[in-house]
Amino acid sequence: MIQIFDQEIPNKMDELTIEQFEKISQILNNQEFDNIEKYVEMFKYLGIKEEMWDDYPFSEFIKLVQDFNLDSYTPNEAVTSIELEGYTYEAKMKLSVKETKLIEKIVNSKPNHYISDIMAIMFKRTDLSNTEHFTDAHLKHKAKLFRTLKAEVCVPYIVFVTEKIAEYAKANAAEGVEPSNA
Amino acid sequence: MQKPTLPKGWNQVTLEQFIELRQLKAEDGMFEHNIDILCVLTDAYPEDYDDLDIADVGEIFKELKWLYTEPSKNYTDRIGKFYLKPMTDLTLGEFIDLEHYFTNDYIHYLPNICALLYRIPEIVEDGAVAKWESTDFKTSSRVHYFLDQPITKMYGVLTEYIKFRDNFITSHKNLMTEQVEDDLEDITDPEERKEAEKEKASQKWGWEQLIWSVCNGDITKYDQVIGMKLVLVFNFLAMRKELEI
Repeated sequence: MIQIFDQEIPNKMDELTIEQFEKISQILNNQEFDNIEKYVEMFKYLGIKEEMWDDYPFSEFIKLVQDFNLDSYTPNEAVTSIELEGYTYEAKMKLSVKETKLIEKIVNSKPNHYISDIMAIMFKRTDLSNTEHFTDAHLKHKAKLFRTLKAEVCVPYIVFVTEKIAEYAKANAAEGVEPSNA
Repeated sequence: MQKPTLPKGWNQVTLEQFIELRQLKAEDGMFEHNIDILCVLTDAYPEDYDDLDIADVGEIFKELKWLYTEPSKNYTDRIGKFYLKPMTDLTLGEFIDLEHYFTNDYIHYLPNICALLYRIPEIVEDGAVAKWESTDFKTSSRVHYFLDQPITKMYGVLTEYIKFRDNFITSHKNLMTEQVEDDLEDITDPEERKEAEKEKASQKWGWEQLIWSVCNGDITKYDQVIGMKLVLVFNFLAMRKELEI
């Protein structure tokens, strides 16, 4: 946590929820904001009213931004089993075709909540079959549940998924068609 | 899932598969597109691959690098009972049909194009065609003969035809109708616009006008004209234009 005015603001992966982490990422990646606006907007989301900055020295503001970003986070071992609302959810560090296709679709179409959506795909409720696991309503419900978890849970999965998809894309990038010599 | 049996090159891909591959779109992402490619090549449903690991898909695609090369341009001049008709022997009617296929989604019409270029001979002497079939047929009734054939048997013919077509159009450019821009609203000058409208109507009825001209206005000769050799018709038209007759 960092202290801003009289408030404690979460800035570490074990302090922020997945929902907060998604929202912060969304704000910081918003091209419509300039660099200052991005952080004013982010702090506003975390509870600091915009007008609080009106008379605040700019150099102090920069210092706060630096402090916020200082979190030298080391990912922990992946949590592979989670209890939520009386059900057990388990995940494996493995990506099937079905999961990859769903993730690709999410990343391309839902940039705002893709982390919780990816978690919903990776974690399966142990008492349900694969058919139920992949239904839209169930995935949506699970994504909502996972948004309440601490962001540190999602890091190993996001790293894993990103690495796997990048590896795949690198190895299988469609090359230009070579003309036939025959 | 067991590892699927994959084709090892274009010679193991049928015309039907080739068309499906060329019609696939990568709009839903590269991975989904790759799975669609696998489904076409292995005649499977996307769900058949659902449980496969992403790394295994990567391994499969290492064996499919040839997909990023163009099929061989060699071709066969016989496919079953069909013989390749020399392009210089094409009739005006066949050329008009081919123009329609090439200018309207030629990938979709590839089997129809094959059905026009590969024909059943009426008389074969010493292995060479002495007379081509003279009865009318619908190309759509023959497409199934070609769909199952390896694409390498006819891919070269298609590129050969495109070359022939380009050369033919270039050498008869003065007899072809010029393309008029689609949006006539952009033309503000009333005289220019009137001229463009006339040109556009002329373009719409281009082939009919040409046939009408060769028939000398006698529409009962329509079948005779479209059955004439393309080269003959255009040479005749070129002569008329040059001599202004």
